[in-house]
Order: sequence, then C-alpha cells, then structure tokens
Amino acid sequence: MNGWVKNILYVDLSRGKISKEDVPKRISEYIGGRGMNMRLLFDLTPPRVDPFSGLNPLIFGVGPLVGTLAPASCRFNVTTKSPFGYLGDSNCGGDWAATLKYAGYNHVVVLGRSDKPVYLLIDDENVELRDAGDLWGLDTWETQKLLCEEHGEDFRSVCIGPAGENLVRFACIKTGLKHAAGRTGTGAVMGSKRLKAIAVRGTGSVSVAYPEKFMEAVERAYGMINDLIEVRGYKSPVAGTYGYLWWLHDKNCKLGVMHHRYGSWEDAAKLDPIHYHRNYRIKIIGDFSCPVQCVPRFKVNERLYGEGPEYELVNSFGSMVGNPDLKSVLEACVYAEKMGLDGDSAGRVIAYAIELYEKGILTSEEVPFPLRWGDGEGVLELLRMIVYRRGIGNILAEGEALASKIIGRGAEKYALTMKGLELHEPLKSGYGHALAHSTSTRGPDHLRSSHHPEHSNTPEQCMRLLGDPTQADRYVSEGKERMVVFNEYTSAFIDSLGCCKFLSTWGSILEGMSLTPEIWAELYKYATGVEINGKALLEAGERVYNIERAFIVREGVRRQDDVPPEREFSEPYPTGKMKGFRLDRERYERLLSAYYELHGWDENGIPTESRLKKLGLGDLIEPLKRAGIELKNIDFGNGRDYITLLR
Amino acid sequence: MTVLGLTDWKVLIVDHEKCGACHICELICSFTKEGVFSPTISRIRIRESPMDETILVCQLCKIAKCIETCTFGALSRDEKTGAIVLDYEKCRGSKCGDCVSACPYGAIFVDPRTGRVLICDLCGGEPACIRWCPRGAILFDFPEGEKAALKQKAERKLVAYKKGVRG
Repeated sequence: MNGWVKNILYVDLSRGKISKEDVPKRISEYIGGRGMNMRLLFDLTPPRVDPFSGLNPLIFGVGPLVGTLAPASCRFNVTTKSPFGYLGDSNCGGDWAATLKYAGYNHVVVLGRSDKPVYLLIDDENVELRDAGDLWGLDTWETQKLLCEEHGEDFRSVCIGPAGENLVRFACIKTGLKHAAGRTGTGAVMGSKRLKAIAVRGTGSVSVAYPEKFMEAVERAYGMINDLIEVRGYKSPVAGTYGYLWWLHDKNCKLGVMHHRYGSWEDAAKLDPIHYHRNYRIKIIGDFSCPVQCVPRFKVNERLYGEGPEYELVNSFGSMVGNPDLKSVLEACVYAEKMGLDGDSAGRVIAYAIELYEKGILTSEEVPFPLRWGDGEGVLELLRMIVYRRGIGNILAEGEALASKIIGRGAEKYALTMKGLELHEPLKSGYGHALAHSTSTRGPDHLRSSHHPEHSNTPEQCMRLLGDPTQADRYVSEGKERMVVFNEYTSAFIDSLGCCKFLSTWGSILEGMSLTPEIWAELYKYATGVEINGKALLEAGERVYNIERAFIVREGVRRQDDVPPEREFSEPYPTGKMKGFRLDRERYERLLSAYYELHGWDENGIPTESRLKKLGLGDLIEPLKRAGIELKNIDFGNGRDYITLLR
Repeated sequence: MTVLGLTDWKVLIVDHEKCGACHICELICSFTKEGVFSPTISRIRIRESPMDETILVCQLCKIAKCIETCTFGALSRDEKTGAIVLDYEKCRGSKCGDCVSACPYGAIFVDPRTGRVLICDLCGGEPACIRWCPRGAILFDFPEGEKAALKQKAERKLVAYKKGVRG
C-alpha cells in the first residue's frame, strides 16, 4: 500500500487480546487520521456510553501523509467519547505518529479496561501488553525515559501522567517534553483503562504511489512555505506561537484575561515574548518533518527547563489567572506537561475558582488559602491539588462545567463552558469568531474552525478575494458562516492527512498565507494514488465533519449547545479597543441558522437525510434513527457554493 | 584531542546549534537512496535526548578505521569525492559488523530488517540532505578555519554520544 500502511491494531484490555485487521478500502472516503478515527468512533461506540467504561473506545490514528516528506506530516489524532460528555478528539505532534506508521499501523483501537496498570509495547509486528506497575505514578517525562532505558532509545511513547491516572477530567496524553493531545480529556479515558503508555518502535517505511510527482509537489509546497516565512514573516522567530500574544491581545481583544473578563490586558507587556527570548530561550526546533519549526526550547535553571510554551499555556497560566510573572508561568507550564494536564482547561478552571471566591460563592473554609488574581505560587498549589484530587482540587478536577454543578449556590451562572468544555478565548471579539468556536464539534476552541479575516485581513483584501469586504469586520454577523464552514472542512482534511493546521487553517487563506487545498490534494493524490482535487478534498473534510456532528447529535447536542454562554451576550468588554461590545443574541441566532443551512442541517443542528446521503454517509441514518433522533429530509439545494468562493 | 576526521575532501559538517531536529535529512536520505521514507535506513541519523540532539554522519576520516578494520575488503575510498564506498558483494553485513564498532563516531549503521550496512556516500558528490535542511545546519565544505572548529565540535559530540550508548 502507498501512503497508508497495512494494519489497524485492535487491543482489548479486558481480555488481554490483540488482533490486527487490514486497513479497509473505504479508508480513502475518510482520508485517514482524524477522519477514519471518527468513522471508527461512530461505529464502535454505543450511544450515551459512560466515557470511563470499557465500552468506550480510545482510538489513535495517523494519516496517509504521516512519515513522508510532506510538510509537517507528523501528527496523530486521539479520539474517544470525552469525559466532558461529547466528542473527545485531540491532535498531537512529536515523532510518535511517524514511528507508529513505520511499525505498520494506521490506527490503534483500545477497548476494554485492564485490572492492573499495563502498557502496550509495539515493536514492529510484535505487540504485547506489559505490566506497568513500576511506571504507575511516574510523570510523563520519567515514564518515557524509563521506557527508553528498558527497551531502547528508538522507542517513542505516548503516555499519561498522574493526572490521567487520577481521572482528572482534563488530563491529556503526552509525548516528548511538550507535545500533547491536550483538550477533551483523552488522558482521563486512557487512565480509566489503566493504560499507562504505548511504546512503539518502527523499522519499516512509508512508500508513495508516484515518487517523482510526489517530490515535485513537496518542492512546490516547500517553496510556498519559504515564501511565507521569509517574505511574509509568517512564523514568529521569537518564540513560536507564544510570539502571537500581542496579535491576540492588543489589536484583537481575544486574549482571555481573568476568566475572560477582559480581552486585552495592561500587564501583557510583562509577558512579552521578547523577555522569554532574551532570558530563557535556547533555540527553536522543529517537529518531525516540519520545515516551519516553531518549538522553542528554554532553560531557566537546572531544575526548570523544557520546550514551548505555546501561546495557549502562557495565556492559561498568565493572563487567564492574572499572573504577569513569566518565571512562575513557565513553572506552571512545565508542571502541567509533566503531570499530563491540559493546561488550557487547567488555567480556566483555576480562574473560575478565583472568580467564585471573589464573588463569595466559594468560602474561605472551602479553599486552602485566599484565591487571588496574579498569585503564581497559588496557581501551582492549586494545580497540585487538582492532579492529586486534594480538597477543592477534587472538585476542580471535574472541569468547570461539572464543578459548577457540584458547587451550586449560583456558581453555574459564572461557568463559561460549551459542550462541557471551558471557553478557550472570549467569544465576543467577533461574530465569525464566536460562531467558529461555538459550533466546534468538540467544544469551544480554534482547532475545529476559525474566522481569520475578522482579525487578520483588510476590507480591500476581502473584497478582492471573497467579493465581500464585510468579512473583515468583526462587528458584522451576516455571511460569516461561509468562512467558518470552509475552515471546518480545511482543518478536518488536514488533520485526516496527518499534517499541521499551521500550514492550512491558521494561516488565513487570503493573501496566500497558507497552503491551498489544491496543493494538499496533490500531495495526497501522489502519495496514495487516489484521484482527487482540492474541491473533492474539501468534500472529504465535509464528510468527516458530518460524522462528528452525527456523533455529538446522537450524544445529545442540539441548537442550544451551539449558542455561547449568557455572559457573552450580557457582559460587555469593560476595557480595550472593543470596550462596550457584547454579542447580540438575535443576530447570533440568525447567523447560526444560516450556518446550519449552509451545512444542510435542520434548524436544530441535526444533519438531514438528504445531505448525509449526498455525502455518501447514508449508513449513518439507521443508527441515528435507532437512537431516537428524527432526521428531516430537506433539500437545501447546492449549499456547497462556498468552495468556489475561495481560491 | 586529535582530530581524527581531518580530511582532504569536502565533508558534511553539522552545526548542532542550528539543527532543528526535524528529521528531514533522514527522510530525504532514505528516499534518495532507497526510494521510501524510513529513518531507520537513512545514512544520516538524528539521535534525540531531552533538550539535546546529536547528528550522526560519516566524518570522512583521513585514516579511515572502518576501511582498515574490514577483513573482506568491502570498504574503499572514492578517490574523487573521498567518500567511503561499500561493496555489498563483499560485505557480510550485520553478521560481521566490525566497521560499525570501529567507527569512532558511530556513523555506520545497520538496516535492522535486512542486516545491510549503511554508510553515507555523499550522493556521489551532491548530498541531498544539505539542499533539504530547512535550517542550513548541514554544510558541505572543506574543514578549514571556522569550519574546522565546527567540525571538531561536532566530532566531540559524536564521540561522546557513542561512549554514552556503550555505557
């Protein structure tokens, strides 16, 4: 096989059984990686299953481009039913994905639960479960180190830390020093299965269908990337994504500050990436097969060093908790990395606790010390309490949504969550932005879609390239669904291919700030031999997105779950360039209806029979109906015009 | 320290400070020589440890211990490029492995699946890895002046790495 490799690996932890199946022919419909993961998840998961039960599958998947020279082709997806209630899916870099592919596996499906801690050892075709008694309790760095010492330095591992073992709902799965399948609590599901790690050695190879044409396409892609980096200054040379802090904060008011109270922050200057660059950064390295290279490596002292942080963690342990002290931010980041904690959710949950304490809902009897904004030491102590579920940490470890219900006494009103997951950025920094985060199938963040023209482009650019200057205006709601839907499909196919969103969705497609669907289609075509063009690739993205939607609809998501929390409508920005602005509910609801219509979903956000059939997903209809969901049969006509609107 | 690797030829000099550990050199190497993507059959290797990486590649020693060691006469010097070339007809592969242990830099490898010995042949004088390295971390030049210092630094790293692996 070209592009894909031979097998899907099934591991049943309850019975200790391991089996392999050939990759099905229909994998090309879903591309691979995230797409195929979704198909497996939908087919294998009983409706409304308890995420911590053995019936919930934990699925690892790598795409057809992983392990090749296609730019940044190093990523895998972990997919499961989330401990937050709906879709658990997270994408992660590092060199584990390529190693798994060289060992001969596109997917690893873990089912069941083990009685005692185990780890999965994959040495090419030899696969076995090993006792993990001596690894249990170790942090993610120690675990990987020990596995290398035991089996050899060629082994690469994904693993959980104490947070996953203790079922902290926002525990993540880690590989390397900093790479994480971060959000949606996949690490807690792995912990519930008592699976500590998957260590892999792969000595095989990945071949491509048309080597010469493939390399020509790779060279073209590299040319585009050099152009992005050198001519357009695309990559932050200072500190990777951390370098975008200013872009978020000052101009765009979407830096979450103090539990999303503000969108910009005076103290941000103290966290300026230039301080990090001058004082702590050693060098910037790249992910496997990535020419962009955005991973900074830092060292504060012999004890405090690591890779990263990404902007998200600086945001979480910096602005979100009002802490402008860079050193303590880095300390919290490294602690989260080691313990296997999703820093994104962790910072928000802590910020939520501080706000509740401020409001008098959490009393001093319930907290170990007075919770204050900007208390770096306090944040670290709360992180420790969360990881080991001590005191108030035991409640916060459930995540903001569940914690608000446990605490009660009006705490629910202050929770900023959607689909069970904490808000990533304030949603009131633009209507397109709000729509992209709110409709995201896994919960509110920018990894499912985004609306970049609102924050990056001028009206002139939008006029020239989209025929609509108002796409650049964040206060306008009409017509914003087009860009959001386009980016949903882009990120779906890029995750499914196994490459990085940095080179697709996140670079605004306008002004050529990213690689086009056409070039990705060429890479896919020449790698696998599947006849495909850019438009068809976007349609494959649409197919993947519809499986995800069908999955969360089966789990209970409806229209109200796509609407931001009340506070985004009622509390205007108190400061900053967008001072006084809040979302208007009526306008947002109109935008949401237009979004559903473009998708071919009904007014409740449920996919229609006609659209599912059109996408070749007719076989989802029966299982949905069996789960008691009424599917309508509305013909929306050709709702896919957006594809031709964009180059 | 004696500079074992001092040569009369153009040689691959890795600037470890610049290296981004992206493995692109391994991928282009295996693709150029074998037609597939597979770091384990590459003739240049990035070995990673937390916060550090070592890039193993033939240093083109003037007095090549690998050639001296080989009892089958399978290794010889390409007079034009200076590269160490391997005659697979004569080589016993992993059954022998004398050259692998003789190389002071750990820059000779064995294909784990077939037992073949792998060594950089400089792609006949135009190494593919230097063209593809996104950081310009691999130079192909005579080890003179600053570049000699750079090479010496790399050699030390390689020697230390090999010692570390052996324990």
